Amino acid sequence: MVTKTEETQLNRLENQVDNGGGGAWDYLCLVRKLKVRRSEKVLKHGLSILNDPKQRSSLGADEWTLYEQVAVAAMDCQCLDVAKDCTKVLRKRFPDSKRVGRLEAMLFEAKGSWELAEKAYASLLEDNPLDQAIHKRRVAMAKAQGNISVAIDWLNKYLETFMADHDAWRELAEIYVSLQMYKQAAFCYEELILSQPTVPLYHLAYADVLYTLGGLENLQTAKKYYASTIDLTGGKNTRALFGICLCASAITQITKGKSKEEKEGSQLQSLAAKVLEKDYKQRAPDKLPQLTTALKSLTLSS
Amino acid sequence: MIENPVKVFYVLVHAAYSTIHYRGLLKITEEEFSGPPYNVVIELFVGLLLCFRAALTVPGKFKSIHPHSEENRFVAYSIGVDFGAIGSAYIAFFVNIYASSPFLGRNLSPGKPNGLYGVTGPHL
Repeated sequence: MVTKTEETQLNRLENQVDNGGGGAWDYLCLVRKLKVRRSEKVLKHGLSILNDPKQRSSLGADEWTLYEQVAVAAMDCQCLDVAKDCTKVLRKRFPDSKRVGRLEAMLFEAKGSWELAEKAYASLLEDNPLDQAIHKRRVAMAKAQGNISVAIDWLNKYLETFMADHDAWRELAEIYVSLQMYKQAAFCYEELILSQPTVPLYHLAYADVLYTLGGLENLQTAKKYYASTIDLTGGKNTRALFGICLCASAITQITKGKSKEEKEGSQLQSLAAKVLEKDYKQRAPDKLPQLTTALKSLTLSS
Repeated sequence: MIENPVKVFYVLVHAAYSTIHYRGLLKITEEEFSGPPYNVVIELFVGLLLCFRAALTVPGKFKSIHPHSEENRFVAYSIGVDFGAIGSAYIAFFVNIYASSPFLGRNLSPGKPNGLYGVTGPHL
């Protein structure tokens, strides 16, 4: 998870490094810590450190971590020669390492030799059946080959053992969403909300799924989750504000005539619309007319 | 200004010393010791307040406990290479999954263009 402060810090460091202001190592550390995917930049700046013997030796033991990071980034950018070189250096330093074995298997994967990669992963799993990273690689491989159902099977099996892995739950939810299996996706997001109730992204995604499912009950729940997203983000989430408006309008369409909770609902939606208008006025004044027409079409404009 | 906790500690030590001194004086005048004099009590109280102040200010700023503060507000998933397919195959798949999905990967923030590669998920 990346917080707002961390995101700002990452962007600042990235700008600084891109413009030759130094701090490449700090940037690479932050990328590693936040687990974000910036393969191209990691490859570029990581290689520049590795190619400079002075800088490289000043890292001490961290040098090997950098080799690993650059190897993975190089595979991701399809610079297989670089990846091979890095893996070779690591193999020379750590001849019996399973972690380097994983890198070698990933190299097969990057080349597209799925069978070889599968074999390598299977043999690694035999030695250590609880290696989470390798289980995840297998899922990713199935996904990359387009075998989504196999990926789902692997993930479900994986989650039976490692139930506390949030990333895996989120991955499963996203796969279900991509297959339009919203009920299953909703279940995954419920698990995520239960395990990390303060992350607004899960509330938002869950609300999105419920809104897509439709039906009065789901829409009402979706609205509640959009509201909780607003609560957790201090009203800074535009998507949740739009969600409230859309849910409210869908609910009024369904419950035309029977006005039960109308009062409270209309207050919430007009407040959301007001915040949206204010936000657009501040950040994108040229798009304000579009917003007002959109809100009017939802009969929400104040 | 006294902000260092060690310096504040001197005030407390001085209060203790004054009390001992006072007791010594009482022994000479052969009176009963019923409690420390008022100025020592006041000194103790001031020392306590200064201790509080030092303990609250010296270690640095407090971290926010509000979920919507900048340090606590999650704005993106960490999408590493854990589940991502490596290399070009990944991009092909990613475009597929994001194009077919009705709401993922679209950036709804005002003032920013919509991005197909919503790699960091919906922005807040």
